[in-house]
Amino acid sequence: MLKAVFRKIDRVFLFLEEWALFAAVMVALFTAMANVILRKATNDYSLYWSDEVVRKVIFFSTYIGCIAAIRSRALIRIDALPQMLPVLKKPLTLFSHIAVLVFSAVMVYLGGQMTLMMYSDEYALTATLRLPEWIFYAVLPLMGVMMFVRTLIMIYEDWYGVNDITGGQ
Amino acid sequence: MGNGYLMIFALLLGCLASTMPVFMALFFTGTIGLVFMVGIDPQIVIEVLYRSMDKFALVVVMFFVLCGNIMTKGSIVEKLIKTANILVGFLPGGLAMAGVLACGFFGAISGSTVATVVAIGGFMIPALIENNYDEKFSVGVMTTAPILGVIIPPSIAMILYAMVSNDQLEALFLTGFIPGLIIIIAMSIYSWFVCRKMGMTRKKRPTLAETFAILKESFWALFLPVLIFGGIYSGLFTANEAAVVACFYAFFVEIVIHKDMKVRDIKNVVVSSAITSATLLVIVAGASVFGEYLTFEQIPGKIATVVVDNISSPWVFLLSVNLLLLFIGMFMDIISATLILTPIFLPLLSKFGIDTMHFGLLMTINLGIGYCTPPLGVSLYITGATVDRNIVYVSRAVMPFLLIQIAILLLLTFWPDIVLLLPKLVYGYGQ
Repeated sequence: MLKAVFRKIDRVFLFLEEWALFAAVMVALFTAMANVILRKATNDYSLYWSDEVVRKVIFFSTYIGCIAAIRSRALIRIDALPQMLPVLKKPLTLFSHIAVLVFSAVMVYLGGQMTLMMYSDEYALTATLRLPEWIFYAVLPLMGVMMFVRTLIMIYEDWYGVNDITGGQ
Repeated sequence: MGNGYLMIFALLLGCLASTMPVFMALFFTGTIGLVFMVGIDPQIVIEVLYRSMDKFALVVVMFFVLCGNIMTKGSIVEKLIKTANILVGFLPGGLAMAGVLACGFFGAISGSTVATVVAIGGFMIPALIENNYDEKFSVGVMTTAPILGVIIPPSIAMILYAMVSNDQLEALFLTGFIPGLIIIIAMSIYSWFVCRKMGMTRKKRPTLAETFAILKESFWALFLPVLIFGGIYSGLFTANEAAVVACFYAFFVEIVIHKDMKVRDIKNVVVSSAITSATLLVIVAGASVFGEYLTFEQIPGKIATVVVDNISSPWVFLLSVNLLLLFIGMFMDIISATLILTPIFLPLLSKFGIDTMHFGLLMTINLGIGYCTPPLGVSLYITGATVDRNIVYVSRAVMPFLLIQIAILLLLTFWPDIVLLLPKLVYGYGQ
């Protein structure tokens, strides 16, 4: 039952992460390229908002990419200790998962507070696009929630020695 | 230095050793330091996480990662290897030299050692063994030559160093060309001697027509580094713009010219690149939180005072730092080490009159060597898996090549003019 729920959540998260990352990077790529072409072609005209779009995409794709990296176990870590002492591998992996859960909780709590603060400030707008800043701050608590759930799935897989929820990716 | 600072550093080391993600180790220790030792509002860490990623300069990391992935997915890498092989493959030890040269070509487009080991090493080691090269020699050369990935620009480590040190990125990139060339030449000469001693048979020298045919086939692949560096150093593009243009060019070549990538592959390449780039950039965010703590407590300045009180010669300082970085490189990846250590070393450089760009290159080479330093260098495990050999075997195989690279590192340490020649010529740096 739990496995089926986790599998469903994993598929939904995977879909959201992949398309969100793809769309964000393509927007940044095309915006930056359009700006290069315009600057070279017209010599004096450029998209004044392109810089902000690219910066916001980097912010967004970094934190959303981190959630996807939990699934593929791609976050950079120093695994010198378990390589030297393989007996420590299991307890350290569990400790590392707990650290991710704590981090996620901190993001939900502090990031959520900051988002609400920005939401209540009608003047908190981005410099050129005049978008409400809270939209971007909300990425952090969102990341916290998704990271928390993803990590629970990874703990389940590690605990039962299975990888058929994420497909071992 | 107070006990509090030492506790925070001990906590950081403990967190790093515990296998928790590096950015979280930096985040937790930085946050604990800021909240419990400096006594500031914890909301500041959210602000730091937000602002640290809100930087246009980071775009260059994301797009060069994407460019490298497009090349690996398509056939640009294969064409670069073919070109290297036709140029030097007929010499004694020629295929090994071709492997080294291919790492140089790949390094001129990608910016990562691991990507170079996987892309070139994974292809060249079986090819060398198939051509009767000694397995240990083949593993040694193709584990260590990928250091060129971070030395020959564009280099992700240099991009992040420049961000912290405020050096001009385009000028910092130039510091890598001559050292990269020296490494290619030195490793090629060693390969030549070893293969002559082994009595390896030489391959037939290709005819002019064969050479021309390969160069024609690889034209579009070879034009990519020309586009990047020609664009940057002719003043046509900034480094950020060059990264964007390179991605479009690589997509165009692989999909339209080589036809080795389908439109439906684009999504996978973009998503995997976004994830790789996220794993690198999020360390910038974690390091920014930790850096905020260092700044509040003025720790780099305090460390500088302690070091200057105990070391008077810049050469002794550089030698000590080299040893320290080689040691750290054995355990820590180049991105984390660059972001954690650069703010600590920077105040020391001005005290000893050491150029920041010279130091940036030394740091990059040092930490790059760390990728193939036993017992924990990542490259050792990648090539070990390719030939199904254990770490002891691969560690022995890389030793002669590591000695060559360390000798070159020492040469560059004590002869900064080699490193700074191109920035001086092109940008009038330091004049």
